[in-house]
Amino acid sequence: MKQTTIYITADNIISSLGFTTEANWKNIVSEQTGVECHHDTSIYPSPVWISKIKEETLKQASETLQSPTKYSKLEQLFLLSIKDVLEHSTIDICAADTLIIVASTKGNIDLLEHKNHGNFPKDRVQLGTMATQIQHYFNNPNTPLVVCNACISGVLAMDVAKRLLRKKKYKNIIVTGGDLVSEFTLSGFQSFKAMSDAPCKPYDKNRVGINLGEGVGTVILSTEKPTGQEEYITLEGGASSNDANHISGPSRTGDGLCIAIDKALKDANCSTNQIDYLSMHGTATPFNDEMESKAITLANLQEVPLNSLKGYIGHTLGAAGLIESIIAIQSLRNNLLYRSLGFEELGVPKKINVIQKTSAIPLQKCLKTASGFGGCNAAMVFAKSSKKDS
Amino acid sequence: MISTKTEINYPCCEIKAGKIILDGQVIYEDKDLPFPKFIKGAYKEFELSYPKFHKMDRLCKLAFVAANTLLRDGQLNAYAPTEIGVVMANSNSTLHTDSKYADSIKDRENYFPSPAVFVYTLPNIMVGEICIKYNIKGESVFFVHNEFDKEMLLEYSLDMIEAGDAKICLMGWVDYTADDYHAVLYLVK
Repeated sequence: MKQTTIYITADNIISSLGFTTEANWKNIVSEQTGVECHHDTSIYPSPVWISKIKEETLKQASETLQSPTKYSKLEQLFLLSIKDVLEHSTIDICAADTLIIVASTKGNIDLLEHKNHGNFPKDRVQLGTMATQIQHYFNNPNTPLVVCNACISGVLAMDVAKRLLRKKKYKNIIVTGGDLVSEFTLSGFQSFKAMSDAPCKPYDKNRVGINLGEGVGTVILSTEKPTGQEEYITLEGGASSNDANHISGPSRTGDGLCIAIDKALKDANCSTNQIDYLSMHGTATPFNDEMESKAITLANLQEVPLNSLKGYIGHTLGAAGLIESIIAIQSLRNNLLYRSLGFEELGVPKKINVIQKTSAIPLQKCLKTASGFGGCNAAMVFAKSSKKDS
Repeated sequence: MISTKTEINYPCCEIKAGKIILDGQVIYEDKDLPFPKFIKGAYKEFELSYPKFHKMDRLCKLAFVAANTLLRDGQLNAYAPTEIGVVMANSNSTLHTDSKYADSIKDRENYFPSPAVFVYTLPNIMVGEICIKYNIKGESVFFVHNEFDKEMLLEYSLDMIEAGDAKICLMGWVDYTADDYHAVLYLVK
């Protein structure tokens, strides 16, 4: 049976590298990183390597919002990101068949208790309440869905949208994912000894851990074909799985992620040899990258060029799946694969094809993966087709 | 209409106000105990003998006992691990444990962030705990919504089954705050 085609009709990224997809893409292809060493005791007692959005830049950007001070930092980022996608789209956000899905791991966690200096009501730390702020700002009639599934939240939120669009429950779904760098998450990952004390090095022999990052990524997914475009990007299929192995450590075999990859390919009606590129999770923790190399090999994708975006903007948690998918889509559009920053020498047990030089290559289809705490994995296939194909 | 149907047709375990209710029958009750003692009592009564239980936070313990009550007679045995889906939600995410964790980093002179606490500051960890116990490797999702929208979760689970992405689905709501707790899990086929 032919599935409903789902088009990605607009996208936006806000990170330390810029406030639009184009700004982020431009910095990534010129191999600029937003990961820096921060000596700011208000966010962490000791120096940390993170990717942080400059307060001044955000403040300036937020002047375009209505009553920006009514919104928390993360809410402002969500509003700016959605505002940008709407400016590049003709959809009606007030329509009954438009839904907003929010992906986040910790939302307004920076407003929890002693960190909230009375500027916001106590319940703003609840994800549902945060999402309602976004809904009301844009006068959307539907209660937003919030997907809170650790580091796969962003990819999974798009997979949830896929189901609802295929069921024809909505015509357009705005999927937005975001998280901040907060003392809460910094100290937590530090307590796990999962943080790198230098720029992270996904898949490298000398990798020691992650750099946290903050940002928001937003896409509009639509069942209506965009008009006037020569090329279309489509969400072909997706899936999730669980390792059923450990709550805070990845599978030692990679079989959980491989299940998600196999299911996503099947859902996309796509074979492994049609996949031109893998946009991986690649956190640069020793165990995660090891697991990914095994999963890719199990899925028979070990020859396919791959990279991790983490060296450019760090691990943006609930935003990661969206931001990395949008950058993967930029690769499809531009037939350009960016270098996996931080990688020098292969340091995972299975031989995989890590991209070492930013280079032009014809691209049609790519696979995006994500894995996270709780043993969860997700995978998704995106494709490019031109007007004459359809 | 749908909500009546769910209550009749699908096996259901509900835990609230000191009671464990299976398919409408109260099977365990100890109304006067605070939650930690109540749930420990249930753990002993049902002879769960699962050492990892004692490491879990309160939210996970609540989810775990509810899942066990629903699944203890091998209800998932006929299914392959990848055929079992999980669709769960709550309204307070992990706020109870978030507060506990936030306390541990409040004072720079007395700074003791613990990975054993931090890991429970993600609500899908309870899905992970259930998946480990019952070897569930299928699709799963965790939603955080202000209201328990049973119809939406049921529709989503049925859609997963209809699309061929699962054959059976553990679906429901598990929420814990300092003042209240509520778990409702269904086995949707």
